[in-house]
Amino acid sequence: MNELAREEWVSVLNLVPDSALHKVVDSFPSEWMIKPKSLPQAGLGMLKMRDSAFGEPFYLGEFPLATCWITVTTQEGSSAEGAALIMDDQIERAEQIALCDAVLSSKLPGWQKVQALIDHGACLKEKQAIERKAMLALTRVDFSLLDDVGESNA
Amino acid sequence: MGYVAIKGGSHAIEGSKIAFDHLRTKKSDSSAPLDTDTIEHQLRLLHSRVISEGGIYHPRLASLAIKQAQGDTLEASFILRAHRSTVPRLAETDALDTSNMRVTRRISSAFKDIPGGQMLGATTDYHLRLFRMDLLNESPEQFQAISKSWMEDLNLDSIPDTFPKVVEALRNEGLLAPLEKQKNQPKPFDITREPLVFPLPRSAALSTLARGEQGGLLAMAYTNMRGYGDIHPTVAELRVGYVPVMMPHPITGKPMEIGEVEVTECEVVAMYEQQDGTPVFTLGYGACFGNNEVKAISMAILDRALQQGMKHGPSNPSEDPEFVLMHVDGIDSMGFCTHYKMPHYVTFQSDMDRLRATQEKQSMEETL
Amino acid sequence: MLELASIWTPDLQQKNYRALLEATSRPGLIQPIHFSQESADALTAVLAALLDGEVSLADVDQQIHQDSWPLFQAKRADVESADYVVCQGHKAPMFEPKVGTLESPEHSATLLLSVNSLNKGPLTLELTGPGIESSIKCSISGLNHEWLKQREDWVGAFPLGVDVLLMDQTHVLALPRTTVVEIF
Repeated sequence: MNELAREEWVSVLNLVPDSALHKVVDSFPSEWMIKPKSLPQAGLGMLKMRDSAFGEPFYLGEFPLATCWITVTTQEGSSAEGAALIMDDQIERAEQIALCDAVLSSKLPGWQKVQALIDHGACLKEKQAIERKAMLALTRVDFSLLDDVGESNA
Repeated sequence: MGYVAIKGGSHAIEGSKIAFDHLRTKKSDSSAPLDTDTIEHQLRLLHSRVISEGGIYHPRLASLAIKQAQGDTLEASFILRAHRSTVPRLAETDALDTSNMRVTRRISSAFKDIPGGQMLGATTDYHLRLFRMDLLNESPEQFQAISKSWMEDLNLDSIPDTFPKVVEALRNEGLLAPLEKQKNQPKPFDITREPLVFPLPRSAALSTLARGEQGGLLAMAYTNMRGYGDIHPTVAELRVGYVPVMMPHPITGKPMEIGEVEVTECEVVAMYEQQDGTPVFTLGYGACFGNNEVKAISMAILDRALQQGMKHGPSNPSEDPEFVLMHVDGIDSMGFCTHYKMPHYVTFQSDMDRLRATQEKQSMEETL
Repeated sequence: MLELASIWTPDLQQKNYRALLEATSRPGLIQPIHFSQESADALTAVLAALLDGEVSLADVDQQIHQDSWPLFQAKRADVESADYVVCQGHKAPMFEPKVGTLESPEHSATLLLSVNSLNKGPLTLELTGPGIESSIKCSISGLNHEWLKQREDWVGAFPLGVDVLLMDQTHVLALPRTTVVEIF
């Protein structure tokens, strides 16, 4: 599998079903100390867009946003920092993904399970991209056929 | 005296809620409760509309709103809007660039050959408006078979990941004014925080139109299309797709994709206007959440009309910012309309009293 | 999953917010602040209830722990423009906080002053004004007189002004801008 950069983990984990994420997180030792570095929160993000007519910024609308930033300390004393921002209002999911971010970035014990989850998510994302491209391929207009026939009502 | 009506009504109000839900569920022996996935996928365009008018990109809650409101789009959008008003604002994204859109549909009516090509995507534009009676008795097997095999034997290699904007090509050819290098771009107007006080900056107009009610927007834009305005627009590009939402990773600080939003975006090109003596085309812009093409096109036409109105003074209602922007919001308009149903007994009583007094006075004057 | 000190939970924050509301409605009556000794102190508990990402904070005498800042989410600001200012009450004030404008008197600062004690001390204040039936006296220890002099200037042109919260280890006493304070 391609090595995905840390900044790509959230986008692939978004596609992974809750149960799979839960399973991996539950498998981490309960003795691990997980402390918040900043308050986990669920709220809104505001989407700023640039209009393509004049390049002026405007607010298109809001989206649900959950944030989490934590430090994890294992029984052996090694610690790692992890964070996640997700487009959802489930704080728990943000906490779980932040934990995965910590585990994989610092290769804490069990990191291979997180890697497997990410690989699975990457696969799902690839499938999604294929579906979208297929819709484009299926509906692409071939104007050359029109030109062959001759300019009638082209 | 004035409060008796309300106290007496609480029992009836509770009853009305029960009656409402009864109508939703009375066919329970022959049908199952709607689930949010069904609404999101099988009523996809209705769902898009509610997300867009609610002003918050929350597919799951938009489905719930539709279910709860029994399909009333104004009510459903209201529920979404009410929800977002209870949730704290945490962050703002940097300006998103739709040239990164994962396109699912992309057309131009102004230009035949656009870089990347034209792809119709999923659209009803070419449907015959004839009933598909076979859908009346669609079996689960027939339903499941549709999505299974259409993707085979398609050559995907020539499809790029992203497509350049048509307007960029127009700029490169000098047909459109180049984008001004905006160094200190002003903060956009936040309509969720500030009331609309005229004159408004264009960013306020765009935000208001983006969550405007589809019918209202269409009607206003239609007045412009039909000839009350002088815009003869052509669609330079209409694209529908998924725009990645980027925010910095809290620890590394580098941009991270936290999700994607479906967006419909449209640029209309309007008649040329002299700028430094060089004739150029000018643009109107429309963008909204979800797959809402009528809305995006209407918005682009209104954007152009409002720009005209703000520059030269409005020459018709669709160019008047106050006329347009104060009346396109679905929650504002349906709220006002709905409030007419609330008790106005005391107000009306005083109107009747005044009328009777006037009538008595008039009849006394007549007898004198 | 996360170990969160109780002062960061909605439950305790609501209780503390309620305490602040009571203190402000009835100036001069001290209100207890809710927090657990091992994990916090009264000042942090009050700030946790008041602050979020939309407001700014100035920590004049470095009373706030470095680790608390990301939890408060408040932006750092200099003392003349901060929405909330934290100071040691025994030191004389060395700044002019923002007092708001006639159009927006709420764009003014709330000052949190740490004192030694709110119920016994050498300084006795008599308070009158909205929320106080006739008058009320409080004895404070650890508040520099200069604060009261400066406060008179700051609150002199109602509705402009600042609102003050006096805090000892466990309780809070509010002096909203409408309260008249006399040294007894």
